[in-house]
Amino acid sequence: MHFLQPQFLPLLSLGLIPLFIHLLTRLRLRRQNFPSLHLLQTVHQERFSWVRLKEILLLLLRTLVLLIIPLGLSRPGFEPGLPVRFGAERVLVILDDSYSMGYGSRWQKAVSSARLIIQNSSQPELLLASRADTLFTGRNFINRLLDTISPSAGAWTLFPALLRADSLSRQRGLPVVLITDLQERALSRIDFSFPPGKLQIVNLGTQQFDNAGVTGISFHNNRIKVELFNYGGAPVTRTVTLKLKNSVQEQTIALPPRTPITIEFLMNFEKPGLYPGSVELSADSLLIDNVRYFVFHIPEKITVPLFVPTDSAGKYLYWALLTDTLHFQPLTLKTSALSSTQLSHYPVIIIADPGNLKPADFDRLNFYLNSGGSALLCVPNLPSSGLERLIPHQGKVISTGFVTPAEIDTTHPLLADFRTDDFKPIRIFQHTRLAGGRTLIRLTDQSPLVIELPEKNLLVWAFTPEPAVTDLIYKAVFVPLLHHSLKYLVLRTIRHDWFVGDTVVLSVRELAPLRLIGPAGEKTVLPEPALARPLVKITTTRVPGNYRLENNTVYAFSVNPLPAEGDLTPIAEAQLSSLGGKIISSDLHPAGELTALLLYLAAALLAVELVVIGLENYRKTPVRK
Amino acid sequence: MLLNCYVPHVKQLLKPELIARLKGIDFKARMVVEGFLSGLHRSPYKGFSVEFAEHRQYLPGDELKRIDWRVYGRTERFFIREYEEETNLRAYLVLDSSASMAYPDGSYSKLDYGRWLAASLAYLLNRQKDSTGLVTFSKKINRYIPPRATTAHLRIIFRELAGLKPSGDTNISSTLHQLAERIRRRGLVILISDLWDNETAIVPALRHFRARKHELLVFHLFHPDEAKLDFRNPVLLRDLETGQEITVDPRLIKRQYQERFNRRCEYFRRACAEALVDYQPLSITTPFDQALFSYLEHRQRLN
Repeated sequence: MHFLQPQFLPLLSLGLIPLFIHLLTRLRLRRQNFPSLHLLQTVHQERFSWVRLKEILLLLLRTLVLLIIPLGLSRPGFEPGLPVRFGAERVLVILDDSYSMGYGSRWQKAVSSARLIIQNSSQPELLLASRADTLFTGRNFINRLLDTISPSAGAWTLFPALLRADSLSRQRGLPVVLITDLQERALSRIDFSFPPGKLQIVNLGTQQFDNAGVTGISFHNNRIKVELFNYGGAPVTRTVTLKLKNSVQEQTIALPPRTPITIEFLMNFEKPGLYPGSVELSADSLLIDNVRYFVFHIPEKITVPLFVPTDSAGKYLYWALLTDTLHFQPLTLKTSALSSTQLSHYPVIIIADPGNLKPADFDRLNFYLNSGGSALLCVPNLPSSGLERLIPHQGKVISTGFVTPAEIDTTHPLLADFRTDDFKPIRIFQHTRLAGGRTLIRLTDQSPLVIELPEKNLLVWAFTPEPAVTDLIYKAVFVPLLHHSLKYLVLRTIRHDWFVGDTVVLSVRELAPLRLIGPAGEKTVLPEPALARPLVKITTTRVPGNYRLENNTVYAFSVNPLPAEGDLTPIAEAQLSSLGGKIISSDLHPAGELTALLLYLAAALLAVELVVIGLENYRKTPVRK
Repeated sequence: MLLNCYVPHVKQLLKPELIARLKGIDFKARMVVEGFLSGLHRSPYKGFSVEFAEHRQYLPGDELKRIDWRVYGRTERFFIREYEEETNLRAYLVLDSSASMAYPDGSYSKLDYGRWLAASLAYLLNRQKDSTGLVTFSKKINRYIPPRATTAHLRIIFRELAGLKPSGDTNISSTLHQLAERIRRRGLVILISDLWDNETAIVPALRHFRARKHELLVFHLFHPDEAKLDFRNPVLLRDLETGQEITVDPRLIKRQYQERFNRRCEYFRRACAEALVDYQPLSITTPFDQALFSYLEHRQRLN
């Protein structure tokens, strides 16, 4: 039993008052002679049992009422698992305030448990998982803090908080109480352990839970793909709602347990521009991963400079781009013109034969790529082309006959709309051997045909599009592959999807102040000068939602929690033991729970007493005829 | 009807609390009786003694010796001199002197009330030249004074009454049976008692008197506390006769007790009516005239 207001406990002595009065009445009983008890005894015997019972009942009721009221005011609560006796001790409480703690009533229990422990400690200290760098001290301050905080971003792992707590515990010998749901994800990367007996864990997690969430959204050729995941152990049916500008689309889908599901919404974007929206899943117990925000960018017509050594070398690329003049405007330039071209005017460039580039051109190209530009390189089959500085490659490979694409990575957004069979008829007569990056298409001789260097916004083809090198230029897949590649490169240069707590970095055109409009309100941000274009750094991204940044130009991005926050799977005990922690309870009753119960009980007892007295008075009242 | 004959100040003389202040039982008895009689406009009970009552016109058949010749000398008419009738009534005042009669401890007890009532009745009987005897009893007959009509005898009765002390427990039924056997000549038995004994045993004893052709008048004395149990707080009640103690909260059992008490009185009233016994419940705060009227009414019926 624990009391939050123990100063009321001395009032329990009030319970002795009825007993004193009873005994005093007995002691001060007046003796009275009476002629004969003959008649009285008969009546008394008849009434004795009821009178005695009533006396005892009333005495009991009054004593109970006078005991229960001060007991209730002292705010008692049970704490069967209260980890240590904090009567005169210091304790460090780590409160896991990650999003997963918002599941069901975990957060309320966590706060109540924290309050209970803090109330029982002479010098409590608090660390929040989301703000491990700040140590909160002082009981009153911590109590006020607990009133204001809620599950938030920045606590996807408990590592920083536990590391700091371990350090404090070793320095000062503090006992540490971790209040968490023991989410596997939050504890998986911890590779140190606490001194024995120093870490005790209040576990609010459960093995059984139901939660499904939206884990990803992508846009491909007028189709919005939504990835869903049911983290729970039972199949569930959910309604998925896509909200985009003024249109709303819904789909109801069955989600098998622990299996990723992708659904598609068809959407026509006629005009270029920014399209912010959201996908919502019909609610379950963890709300935070039920909504995912997005911003799609439909670019205006892309002018694509095509750097070629000769006109014939790039004619197939040129013709392929001309097939979609709605989106592309090809511009053929000599490779030698690279040094005199203002590359920053173009979001993407194609270099058909970079083997002829000079070292200075590579410097320009590097600068362009580091400033947010992107490029598609068609690497020649020369043993040394000077491209080594950008992409390692090895000489010329001429297979006997030809090689064909063996596998393509359809999980990559670029190739998501293709099938391996689309590439099977292609014959590659000669190619260079590329190394590094992510292989998107692999040949039958295991050489990469297409690779991506994401950090450089670069796609590299291991061939040049010429009839002597490949018959791809005659195949149906050539044009869409080129178009997809360019669109992919253009769109991926502007990041629109960020995670809660991230520092959002956006490249803007001017150094002028910008207005940031988000779900938490409006504020003004100032860009910082950078090497290529000014950068805006936004750190206030703790609230999920769609954000707009505007002055003369409008920028937009979405902020979402990490999809893994929705995975409530608890950590295995074996993993937990390596941390040196001991689970002490999952049931710390919040203080004050018994207060209301006791006060109701006191009221009920008073009511019973009134009924008993009223009944007796009613029996005493003579019936009027 | 009779009460209408009173004048207000006379009532004051009959109140027990006033009588309690007077000294000497004979004086008290005289005050009660004189007060009672003087309150009456006209006595309806003439003819009981040898004392002159009134004259009436001579009628044929009257005895000549009863003619008042002095009146004839003055008026030359024959008048008969009528005397109050003298009877040979033998009255027994049977007074309960058990310990229960000592209640309450205050200014006067049931025994005091009883002795004053007995003295008053003795005085009244003696005044009417009736023979009066006195029997006091508790568990047994304590004192038996046979009836006489002399003034000296009255003083003996007064002395006995004045010296009476409450003691012992009650055994009314056996005492009355004993007494009924002892009194041979028919007479008037006046029982003054609180009747605290087994009621089913008392009634046969009363019938015993009736069987012996005695007239019986029962004054059932009680204090208001006995009837109403009017105590405010829980009390430890001690039986005056047995010494037994019991703790009661009167507020809780008062109603049931009152019902029982009234039922007991009603039982006595019915049983006495069936046995042709006059039963008079009498609170000791009641003025004496009520008791005296009861006696006189009963006495009149005897004639």
